[in-house]
Amino acid sequence: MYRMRALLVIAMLLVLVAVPVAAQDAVEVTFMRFFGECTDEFGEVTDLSEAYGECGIISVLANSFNATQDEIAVNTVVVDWPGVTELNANLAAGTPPDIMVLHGRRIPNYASRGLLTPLGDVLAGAGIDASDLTDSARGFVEWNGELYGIPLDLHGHLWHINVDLWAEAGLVNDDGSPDIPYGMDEFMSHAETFKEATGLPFLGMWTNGLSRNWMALVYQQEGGTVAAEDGLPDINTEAGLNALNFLIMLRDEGHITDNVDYPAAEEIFLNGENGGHINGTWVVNFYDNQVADPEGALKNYYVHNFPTVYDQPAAWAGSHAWIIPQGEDPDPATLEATLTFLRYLNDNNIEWARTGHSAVNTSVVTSDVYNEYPHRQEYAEFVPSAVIPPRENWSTAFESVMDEELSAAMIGEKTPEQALADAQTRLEDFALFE
Amino acid sequence: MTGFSLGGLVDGALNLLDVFDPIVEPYRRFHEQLPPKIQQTITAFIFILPFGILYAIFTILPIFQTFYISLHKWEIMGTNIRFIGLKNFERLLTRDTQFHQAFEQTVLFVALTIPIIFVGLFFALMLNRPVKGIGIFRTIFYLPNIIAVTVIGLIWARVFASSGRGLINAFLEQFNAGPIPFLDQGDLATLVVSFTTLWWTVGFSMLIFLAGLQDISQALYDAAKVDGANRFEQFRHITIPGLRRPFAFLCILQVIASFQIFGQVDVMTGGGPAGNTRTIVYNIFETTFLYFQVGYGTAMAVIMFAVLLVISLIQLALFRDQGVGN
Repeated sequence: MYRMRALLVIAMLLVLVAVPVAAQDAVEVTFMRFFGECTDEFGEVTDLSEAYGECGIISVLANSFNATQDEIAVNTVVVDWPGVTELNANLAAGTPPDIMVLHGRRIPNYASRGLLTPLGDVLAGAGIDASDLTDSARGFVEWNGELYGIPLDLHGHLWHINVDLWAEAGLVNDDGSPDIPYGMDEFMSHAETFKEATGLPFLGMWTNGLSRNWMALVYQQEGGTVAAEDGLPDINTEAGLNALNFLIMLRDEGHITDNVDYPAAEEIFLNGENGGHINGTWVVNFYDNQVADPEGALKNYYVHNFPTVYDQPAAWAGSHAWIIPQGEDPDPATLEATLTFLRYLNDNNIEWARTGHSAVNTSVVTSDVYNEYPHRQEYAEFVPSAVIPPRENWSTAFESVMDEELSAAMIGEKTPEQALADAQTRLEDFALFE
Repeated sequence: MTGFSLGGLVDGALNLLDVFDPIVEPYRRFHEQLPPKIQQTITAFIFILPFGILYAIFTILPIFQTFYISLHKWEIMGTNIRFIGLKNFERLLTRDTQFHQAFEQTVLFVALTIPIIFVGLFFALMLNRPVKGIGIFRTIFYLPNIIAVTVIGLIWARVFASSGRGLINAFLEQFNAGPIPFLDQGDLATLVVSFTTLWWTVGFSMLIFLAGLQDISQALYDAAKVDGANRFEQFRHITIPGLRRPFAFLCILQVIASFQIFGQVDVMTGGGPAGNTRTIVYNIFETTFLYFQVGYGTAMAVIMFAVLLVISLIQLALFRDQGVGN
């Protein structure tokens, strides 16, 4: 009797051990990404047409890849934006993910340290046509003439508009589209008219993270820049001061909602409490879906390029890219599987573009489907006006230092001059420290 | 037929130890020849040896490693490692205004959170009564202390959110008041993070004081009553002296914990607004993990270690003068 029981226990244990062994036939690919966690809503969805928003689309892309074949099992690891803490910790521990999403501007920092797999020689073998990448997108993933990633998108800041409120202020054209101002005078005139008619601020933005908007305003001015020719930071300039004073003036005159962080700024716009909102390409699809909500306050949504208030259009831009971190002892089978998944992601670039981001493949950008996505034509000038932060070592600290110093000026803790001088000192110290 | 038994398994495992007999037996003979006091000392050392080895590997070694790394340019991924002597410290002490600001901010946090000790004492006095169901209240007051800092931070960030999304501001909106930018104005954000820390950790101080209070003999209070002492005099001349040890213990721990404040800042403010809530540990985290500069971040940790060491030694000396160390 005891012997029989023991045999049964052993048999059960063997079954438990054998099941994972059988599953291990598939090559596992660790896929690290940010874009949020939405397993509750999209965990089981494999039909791409049902996905929306960044998190939904990227989740379903991984699900559908797993569902369409059984040789490769993609295991998603969701990390907090921007993912560098987790990437650095994994690199330090010698256990980097097989594939990860990273902001393109960060690629030189990792590539220059030999931490990324050069992809130039392996893409063709994996069936990925790198020549199809647009020049602007390719620029993000190149370092020293070598490709270290496959771009996923070109993204940046846009002007999201509540058309009903603009109409209430009489700021619409005959066809009902918003009458977009161009230049400082028109912009301020619109802002005043809007405030008088609706009693609401003309614009919204998260005021604890102004570096991107400030940078765009700097580049809108003739000769405006944040980097000197020698690559060092050039923050404390006349253009920089003009841009900061403009933002403070907007706040002082009640044209932007003050003291709000990202979620609050978004909520204010979606609640119909201001006329417009500066936010990224990443929310176009999400805001468009909000219009369909019968209980939502946003009923008539339009999106335009970042407002031009100086001499020329310019909008902050960035790029998400897929990278393959360089492990200490890369496994060829895992690399091959990773490249297969990478190809799947690249082949479905048009799906990712539904978020609102600009696509990176020429074949996609020129396709009718892409150009007929909702609102796409409303911000068609975004890509030509895109400006990216300098690809210098100090760009790692650029956003956090600038956000902090600009915020100090906005809340009156520092004068604009002092804030820019301090930013210059801090970034220079960062750039020059050896 | 033999069946499985736990006793048999233990016996089997113990039999495996027989392999050590060739070493153990000669040592046992040698050990028995030693004077009893030395025998006890050696036995005690053998018992703490496993802990000692782990402590050395996971605590002592990293401390020395910290000093070593602080003298290098050293990136988090283990790349670009180069000895640079005291350059990290020179930059830290002479040029890094962000570190100086973080240091001042941390000192402010320490000052603002020290009252936690007195609030804990107040709660302990309230809960040190023979009332029915007092255990429930003690549990309730201690409960926040066992919740993860992430959860605490998220709860209070939601309560104090600057717009109508925040619980308090949503309430104020009903009366057409506010919103108060709790987390978007420097001084307010500092107070909010301090309050959150107080709410989270006061249960610990309460618990230590409660244990201290229960250690004070009731006979002392009875004698004082016979001598005509009122409640305040009893508190001043019996309770306070009786709580010197827990007070000293909490003072040292509270200062160290407040210097190391990180989780609340990370979750609630991210060091903002305008760097107003950036503390030393948050600064170390940013420098090390976001800017790659683990050598430089480690130098900050060394400075903090030195400051805490000096403060703790001063505290110990002060308390020893008052007889606590005896």
